[in-house]
Amino acid sequence: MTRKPMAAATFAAALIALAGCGNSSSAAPASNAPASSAAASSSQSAQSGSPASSASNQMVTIKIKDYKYSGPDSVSPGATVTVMNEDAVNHTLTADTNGGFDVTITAGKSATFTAPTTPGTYKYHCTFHANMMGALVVK
Amino acid sequence: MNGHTRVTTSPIELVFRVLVVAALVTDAVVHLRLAGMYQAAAPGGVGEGTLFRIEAALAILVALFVAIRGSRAAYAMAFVITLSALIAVLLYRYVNIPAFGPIPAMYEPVWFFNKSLSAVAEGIGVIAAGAGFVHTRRR
Repeated sequence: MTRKPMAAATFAAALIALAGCGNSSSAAPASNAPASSAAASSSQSAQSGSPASSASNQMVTIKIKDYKYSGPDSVSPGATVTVMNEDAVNHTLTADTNGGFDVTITAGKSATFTAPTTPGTYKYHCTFHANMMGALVVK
Repeated sequence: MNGHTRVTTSPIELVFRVLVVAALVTDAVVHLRLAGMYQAAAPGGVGEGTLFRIEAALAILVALFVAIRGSRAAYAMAFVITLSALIAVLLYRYVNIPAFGPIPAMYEPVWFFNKSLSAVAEGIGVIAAGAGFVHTRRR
């Protein structure tokens, strides 16, 4: 075989490789979310029930360790949520839908946000690591 | 006779070359897709995203070298690039290495599709590049 057809074959293989890994869902660009805290919207993705009459002063903690979220099964409407990042890299806790909470937690630090005041289940994820997901149940 | 020797490539060499190029291109694409998010997650030192982009650039250059030239030197470079990438992904998957010098902490104790894809491609690249090196005559 001469060099030209061979180069064409390898180029074709490269194109196949490109096409093969082009359908991943983890291609979202990193966002520059605020580093401190962000208040949640009380109007987004509510599923049932009516808005709470007053914000709670409950304080809860969600821990991030080994690229996993762990925390309480549910929180009160308007609760203060502290997110502790025990990993060596930055993470975010970002509501899936617009208008929700979005905090960036620096490695080894914590950040705080206010839970939505409308009961419902609010799914969230890490903007930097697409495989990290969780849900905040407000009730 | 014009003094030129017709360069031929055996079918098995062609297979090795296609595999090496596909592995390197897959590795490069995955690293480029993740670079933005990982730079934000680990910005210390030169940043993880910068390291990903350097890895991708080297992989693309060596893929071109292998595709066009297919020499033992090209296979040797492909072997080094894929092996170093494979060692890095396995090391940072299983060992919590702290930041040192310009290298940020990049411990990530999880597997997900893109990461697994690039690790498999790197493994295939190591084997194919080694085999290509052995089977390719000096040029």
